Amino acid sequence: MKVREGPAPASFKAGDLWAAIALGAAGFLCNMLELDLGWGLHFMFGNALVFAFIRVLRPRSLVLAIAISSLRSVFLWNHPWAWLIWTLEAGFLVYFARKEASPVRSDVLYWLLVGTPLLLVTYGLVMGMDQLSLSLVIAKQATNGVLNVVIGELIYLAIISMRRPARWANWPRMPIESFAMLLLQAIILMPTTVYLYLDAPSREQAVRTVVDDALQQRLHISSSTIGMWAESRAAMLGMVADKQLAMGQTAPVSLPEGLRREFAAVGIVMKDGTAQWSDAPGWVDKTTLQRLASRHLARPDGVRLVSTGAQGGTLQTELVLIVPSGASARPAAIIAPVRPGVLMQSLPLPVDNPVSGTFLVNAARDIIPLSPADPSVLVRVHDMPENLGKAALKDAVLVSNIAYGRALMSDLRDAQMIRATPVAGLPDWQVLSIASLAPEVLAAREGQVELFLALSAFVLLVTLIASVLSRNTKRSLRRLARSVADLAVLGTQRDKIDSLVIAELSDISGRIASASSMVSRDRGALISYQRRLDSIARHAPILVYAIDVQNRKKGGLLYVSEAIERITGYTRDEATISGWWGHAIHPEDYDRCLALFGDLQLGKVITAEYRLRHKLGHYIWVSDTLAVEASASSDQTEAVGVVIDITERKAASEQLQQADKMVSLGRMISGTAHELNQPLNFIKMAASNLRERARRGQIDADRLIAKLDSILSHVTRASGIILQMRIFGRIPREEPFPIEVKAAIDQVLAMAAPQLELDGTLVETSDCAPGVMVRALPVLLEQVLLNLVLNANDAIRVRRKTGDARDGLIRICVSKRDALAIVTVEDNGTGLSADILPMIFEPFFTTKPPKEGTGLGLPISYGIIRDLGGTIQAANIEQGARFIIELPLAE
Amino acid sequence: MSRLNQRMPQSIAPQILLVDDEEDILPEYQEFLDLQGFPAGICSDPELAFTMVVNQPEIALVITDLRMAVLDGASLIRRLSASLPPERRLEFIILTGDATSQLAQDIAHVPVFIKPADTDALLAAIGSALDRAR
Repeated sequence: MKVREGPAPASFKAGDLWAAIALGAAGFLCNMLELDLGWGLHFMFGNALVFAFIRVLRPRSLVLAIAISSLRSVFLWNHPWAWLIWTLEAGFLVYFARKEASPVRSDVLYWLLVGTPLLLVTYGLVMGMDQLSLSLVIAKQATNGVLNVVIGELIYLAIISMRRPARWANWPRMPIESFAMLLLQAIILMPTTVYLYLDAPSREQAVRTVVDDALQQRLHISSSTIGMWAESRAAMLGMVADKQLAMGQTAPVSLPEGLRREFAAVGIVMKDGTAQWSDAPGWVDKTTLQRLASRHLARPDGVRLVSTGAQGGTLQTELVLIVPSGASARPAAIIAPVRPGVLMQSLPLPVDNPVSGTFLVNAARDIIPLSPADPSVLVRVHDMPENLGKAALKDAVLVSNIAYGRALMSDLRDAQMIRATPVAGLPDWQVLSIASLAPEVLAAREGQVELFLALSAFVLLVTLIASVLSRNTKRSLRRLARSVADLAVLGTQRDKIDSLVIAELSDISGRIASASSMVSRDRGALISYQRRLDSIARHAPILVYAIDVQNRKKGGLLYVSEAIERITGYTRDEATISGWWGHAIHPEDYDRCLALFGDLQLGKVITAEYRLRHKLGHYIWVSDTLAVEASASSDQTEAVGVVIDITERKAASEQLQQADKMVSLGRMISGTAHELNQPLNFIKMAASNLRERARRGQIDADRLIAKLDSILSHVTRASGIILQMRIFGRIPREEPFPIEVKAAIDQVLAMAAPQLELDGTLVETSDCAPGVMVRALPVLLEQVLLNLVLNANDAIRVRRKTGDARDGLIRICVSKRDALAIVTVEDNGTGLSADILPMIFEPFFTTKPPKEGTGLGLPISYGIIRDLGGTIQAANIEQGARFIIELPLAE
Repeated sequence: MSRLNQRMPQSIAPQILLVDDEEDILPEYQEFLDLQGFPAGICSDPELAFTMVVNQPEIALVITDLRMAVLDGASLIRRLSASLPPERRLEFIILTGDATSQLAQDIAHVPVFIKPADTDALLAAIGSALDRAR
């Protein structure tokens, strides 16, 4: 989720500069508290303090702060490369942080693309670091860098979560992808680092112990061997002295062959200071030796191994074994100069041991190698500080020629451990062993390299996973945020979601994202559905209402749609006033509607057409459909109704009916014309004859009157025909009333007779029961019947035209069944073919050629009969067609 | 109808017979033709008219309505044409109130007057018909 942007600092303010310097200084101090990961590997976290402010500091300030903070590395390691690389890291981060990328991910990228190559060049090429150490440095620096950014992010998260101080509260929120990245990296890096820190001393100790053990073993062997050697040689020399004394003072001293290999000569010093010597090589300075021996006579106890100092510029020291005799014995001491290298030969050579050298040393810094040793090692032992020598007696001591301050990282390869122990029986001497740490350190370092490389690989992997994950999370959260924003009723604002809420949301977003998207989709559908309904309710000429139903009677108006104003002119408030409907309804329709709506049974659907008075005074026709149903919220009954303005439809329907009547009249025109021509013809002939007689003066009053009477009767006959047409042709305005069906049939036949006669069609009405009454308007019922009769006549004419010369016959019957009046009209015409039978009551369906029929006759008949509450059906009979009208009987 | 038969002047042998099933109009026709100098017989029954024409050779012109209940005018013309001997000349005039009917092909040559007829034209047609019959 993209959280609100904080106000970015507009310019480099003085306060900003001081803040950067202070922050850098704080980072520098923190860098002094490095974590020791063993063998010279240190983690420094001061830069984390600076990275925490990556979002709020200006880029230049941040780089400055890091440059200050990283100065610690220069003092620590005596080279500028770490400083350079860290400062570049800061530059890289601020550049990408501006683009709102995750700083952690940017840092991983930095170490992958920039940091590692730079380390290879500086540490590898410039400083010449060995490959193993270089790998370790690269892995460590990268891990350290990423960890710093992670810690910085955590610090920032803590600051914005606390919202304190208040002016920091509107710092930019942490984007969720940064948060996810941070969380995963922190999980990987922090425990590992803590583990490394806790584990490092024991690892280092393990190496030390291994070396120390080897040293101690060597020392033990060496010291006891030397001690035993001195003791045994002293005893053997004593025996030589005793033999000499027994032989007398003048006898030459002879050294047995075994001792001659180890000692260059032997001298027996008497108590009086005289000495007897065996044959001696020229280099043996007898006088000096005697003087040296006399110094030890005061301390008669124990054998002495005495150094005579370095000879000829070599470090090879001349050794003399001095064996003081007991107080009673005549010789005071035995002096035996030791041949060079004798001690080394007496010691077994070390096997599979890290110990690189063993030396016999004394307080005067005389060094006698007890094993073949590298001269450099000899030098190092010689140059060893005195306190280190003393410490080496107690514990193994690390010696190293430290070149870069505390940069043990590279020097530990050359580091060595020294341990010393006194020699039993030779109090002046110590045995000192020196061992190289390099093999153990390298082994330990290989382990570290593996560990850090694995860690780096994990960091990379996590970066990848977190990138993908955060993108998905971001998407889900964006959806979630949209849903949340949609639920504006809760007053939730996006910018109120702080980062902690984001963290919680990100936990649950996976689960609720799908649910929320579903809800939002459903809700969207619902809203659009509702809008559509509202729009329909507003624009359609439909009035929707709901009423309370009590005791199956209309109760109060619960709801009425806005359309009421457009349809009736009354507002919703006016319509809600009790009794409005009863007042607005047309008085002639009132009773009928009251009866219809009087029994509102559950499940009933009532449809009525009636007139309502518009607010402007005129009446409108409405169709009201009311459905009685159980209320959704309670166990009450309510009714939902739809009112449609059908004024225009009514008018159109009336016009259609009228048109249809005119068509019916038209269909009888030839019959009617013939019928009218008869009286006209008579009148014309009679008038013509009268004129002729008048012209001839043959007028006879009686005859004239009789003739005029005839003329008048024919005028009456003609006007009767026209009157009938006019009655039929006018638009009925009155209400239906009970009429006799037979009368309507007679009227229709009177009208149609001329045409029927003209076409030679016979009509049979013998089955017409008298006294069958229905409630209807005569004109409308006649229209229906006339239509049927004329249709029957047409069908007969069509049949006869096709050559079937049988007489046409129309049979009309009227009967009662139950509460219905049944009127059937049969003909022996063509009948109705099966494919047109279902369509004959549909508007504009006609079998007649154009101009002869509108196709509206039967549909209009259907409408008229339906309006009267009856039905009309058609069927084929043996000879032709049969139409059956059923109408409710009038009481 | 029997009354009409009685009234029919048998003594004068009229050359014209008027046939129409509407009884009211017949006397008026007869009076009109009388006044114009054409003595005419009248008959409201086409069947009877057929017999009369067959039995009275002096009848040279039959003026008939078309639409009649028992026997329509066209049928009457056909039956008379078919029944009379070839040497007997008999002319026809149709006088009908039906303006819509079309005459069948075989009687298409018969002059038709629509009621109420133009009296002068009718008289002219009667005159020329009687001339042809002679």
